[in-house]
Amino acid sequence: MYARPMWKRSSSRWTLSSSGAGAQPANQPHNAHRFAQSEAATVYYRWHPLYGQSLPVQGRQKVPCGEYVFVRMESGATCGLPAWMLSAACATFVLGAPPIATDALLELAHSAERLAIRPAMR
Amino acid sequence: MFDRWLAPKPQPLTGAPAIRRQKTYSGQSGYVYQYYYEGHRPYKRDRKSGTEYVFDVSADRKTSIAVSVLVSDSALEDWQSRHGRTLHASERYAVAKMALFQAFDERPNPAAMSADVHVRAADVEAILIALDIE
Repeated sequence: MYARPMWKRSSSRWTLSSSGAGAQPANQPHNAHRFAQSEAATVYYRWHPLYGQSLPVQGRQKVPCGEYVFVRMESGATCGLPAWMLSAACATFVLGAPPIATDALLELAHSAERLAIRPAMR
Repeated sequence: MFDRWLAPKPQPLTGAPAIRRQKTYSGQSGYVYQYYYEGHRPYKRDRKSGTEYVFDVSADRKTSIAVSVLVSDSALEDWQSRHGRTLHASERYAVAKMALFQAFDERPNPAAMSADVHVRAADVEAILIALDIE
């Protein structure tokens, strides 16, 4: 799988030190664009099959339930993950009794939906 | 029990690829689902008719369940009459698949996936807007 990329500063430009996908030569024109293309994301959610891997980001998409980040896997296939699975806070998740009743949270979500607080799908 | 005996036998599924392709979807619920598209067939239930899209879904790679996404004709007709055109088969499939994803995101756990997914007119509208289909 992809090695965790290391960002290095070369002359006045930032580049990926790994030779994996997304690495660009320092003299690459339109570097800002290339920089965006070579963004990598680490999967911190331990119950996801890609846990622990850093993968190049291909794009993002807003959905009614949040945001999806699309990463490119070693096979070349694209995989969409909820953005929250890429948050470092996920690394602290553990199995156990929920501190808040899930039924209460679901009821709150449904109430919010009824009040049209949740943004409509676009 | 007699109702089940007397109910018409469901038609065979059609439209699945010759070689089943396993796909993965990471739900907002935290569950990672693997699924296959099994095909579609017409359905008639509760005085409603439409197309039933069937997916074989697993959350643990050991057990799987058939999940039916029911896209009623009336839900599609609402959109089609307003847009003055008929949705293509691929667009109708896209509606079903997006509705399945929405269920993956919103249903709290894999056990809840055993219930059919019903696609309403409002869902069709929202999904097609999200897909930028006019």
